[in-house]
Amino acid sequence: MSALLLPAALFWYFVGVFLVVVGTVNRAETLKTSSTFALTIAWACHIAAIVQHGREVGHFPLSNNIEYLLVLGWVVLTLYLLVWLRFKVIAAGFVLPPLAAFMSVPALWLPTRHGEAPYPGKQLLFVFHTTVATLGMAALCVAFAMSLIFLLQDRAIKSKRTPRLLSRLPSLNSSERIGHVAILWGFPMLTLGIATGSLWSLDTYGSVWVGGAKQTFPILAWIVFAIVLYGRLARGFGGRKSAYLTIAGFALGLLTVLGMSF
Amino acid sequence: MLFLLGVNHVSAPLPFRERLAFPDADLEQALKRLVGIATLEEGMIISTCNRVEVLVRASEGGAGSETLNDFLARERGVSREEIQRYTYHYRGRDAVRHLFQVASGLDSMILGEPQILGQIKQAYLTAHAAGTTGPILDRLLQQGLAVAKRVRTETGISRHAVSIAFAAVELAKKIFERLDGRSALLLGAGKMSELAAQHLAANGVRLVVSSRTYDRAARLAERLGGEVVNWDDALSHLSKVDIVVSGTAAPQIILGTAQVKEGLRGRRGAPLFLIDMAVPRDIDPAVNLLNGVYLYDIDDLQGVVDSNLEERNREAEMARRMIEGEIDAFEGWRSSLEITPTIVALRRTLLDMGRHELERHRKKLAGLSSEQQRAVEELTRSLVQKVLHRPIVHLKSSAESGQAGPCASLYRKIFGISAEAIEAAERREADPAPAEQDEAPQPGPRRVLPGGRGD
Repeated sequence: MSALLLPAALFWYFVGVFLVVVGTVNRAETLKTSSTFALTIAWACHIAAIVQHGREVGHFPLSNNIEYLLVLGWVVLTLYLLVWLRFKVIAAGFVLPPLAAFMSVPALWLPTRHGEAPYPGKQLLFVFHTTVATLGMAALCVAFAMSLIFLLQDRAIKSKRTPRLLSRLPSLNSSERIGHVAILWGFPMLTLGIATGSLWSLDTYGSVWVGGAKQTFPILAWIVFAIVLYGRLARGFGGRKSAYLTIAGFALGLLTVLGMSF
Repeated sequence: MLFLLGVNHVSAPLPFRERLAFPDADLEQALKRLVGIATLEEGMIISTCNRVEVLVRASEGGAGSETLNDFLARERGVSREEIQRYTYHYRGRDAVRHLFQVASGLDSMILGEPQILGQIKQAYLTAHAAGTTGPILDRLLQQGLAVAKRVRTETGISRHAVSIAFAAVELAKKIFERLDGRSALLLGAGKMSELAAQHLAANGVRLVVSSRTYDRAARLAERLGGEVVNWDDALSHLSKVDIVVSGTAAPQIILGTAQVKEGLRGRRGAPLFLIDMAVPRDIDPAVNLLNGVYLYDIDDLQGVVDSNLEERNREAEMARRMIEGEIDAFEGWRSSLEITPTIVALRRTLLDMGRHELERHRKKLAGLSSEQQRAVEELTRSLVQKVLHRPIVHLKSSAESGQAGPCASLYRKIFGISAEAIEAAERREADPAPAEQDEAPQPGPRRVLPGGRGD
């Protein structure tokens, strides 16, 4: 990318995460608030970078895996800021913004040639499919972060020796609840993403199933999250099992990137 | 000069502290008798169940410590030998430090406990109402209360629980976030378990009480506010409650892995927090390995308390450093107060000199127009200001470095300022010329409680 917007966004990510860490360690409320401020600037730079890139290449910027990660990163940060607004849980700041920044880094080397639509088939359906899938993955990313935090806190309480940093983690109840809400949002969108993807595949290639990582991994992720949701809603199992499965599900979902065109 | 005489839980045994404590009803009269002593200008008394502190400001040259010993012996009917054996004395900067540390909870039996701050505030308000505090103590106490508040918010000195019962509540919050609406099963009627249950109930937890003897459980339930269940049915509640507090006198495990597993069946994955306050233990330690079950026995809780205390000790170091800075600020203000009379007298002497010379030459100046005469007057005045500017700056900076006394006396000698002039300035009857007001430090308190900085 030619512009300076993405590097600027990455800079503010760095500042924000640094403030999250220092603010949490020192229990300084002003630093925590400043971290949100810095991450909001990162958020603005990030979306500006996406829009600019979209105009440069002349198509909806969700056509390859690098663009996908760039957009996913932005949505993940958006959800982090929403979680912060709603639940005031800053511990997610240790996971989500760094992940969002990390996902955006490859876009620094993205070519900006203006060209034909890079994907075949119905444009609108494809854009809808990728948008929904991205939103779903971002929500599941929040669930992933909260599961990670849950496991750390669970281990801290069980071990009966709480290291200083872990004593700042949110309660088990909070992280589980936020993670659950995130799955309740993310799962239907993932379902819709898979359905629209299959439809597009049918329309373009004449078959619902074309195989490959692009289709296999989302389906595997979908199965894992279906088990998590079924377990929690119908059978009432939660806790560590749910957390492990959520982490596995998100990892599978992320592997989809491997199957996308470069 | 500030003097402080005190006893605390370290310096004196409880019976002596009890004898020394001032009854509330007598405090005001005692304060008045205290400042009635000729050499004492201001005074206040902090009297709580753990400490008595008498803080005074003596006039220059007044022997504070001896006076305070006599006062205490007279007031509380104790011998001077006892006072000498059990009390500590601080003066000047050390007295300021002691007061700040006491207010911040650094001198308390439980490091960082919060009650002492309120007690000092109350003691100050009493003394202020009785009219026994003046500008110095007002400022000292306001600053002390502000420091104590800063220490509590900026350091972790009173952050984590340092009692077993509180530690249990804190842990419960780590699991459940909020405790209101949760329920706890109390097994047995041990002292520690009752205390923990009491703290849980205070946080909005609904209690279900059970004991081998029904009557005992009923009495306990009545005392703590809860529901009684039969001992035989108690374990069936495992699937319904969020917390179990156990403190029976049973010699063996009463809650094994099998029973807890059975209880988990109906819980739909909700976490279960087990607190085992019994010795020997009531709950099989292996249940801690179960998914969603968190077991703490009394040693585990003690471990939490110990590490919290360690953290408080670490934070206390930070608090001490913070306090040193505040002492500097207070001492700086106080010594600037010492030089104020000198500055006022210095100005006044030189301005008088200027006026005097002007009068002497009045005749020679008669030929000038009234405008020119005013210009000459102005010139004299500004000359005096110019001449005085650097000496005053020097005097102030010497006050900040704690050299107020010798420096002020040197200036008095050089400019020939009499003791009477200083006294006049101290009574603040000095020349009320507006120019003086803005440069001399204001000796009054910044603000007067209540509603001041200590709130």
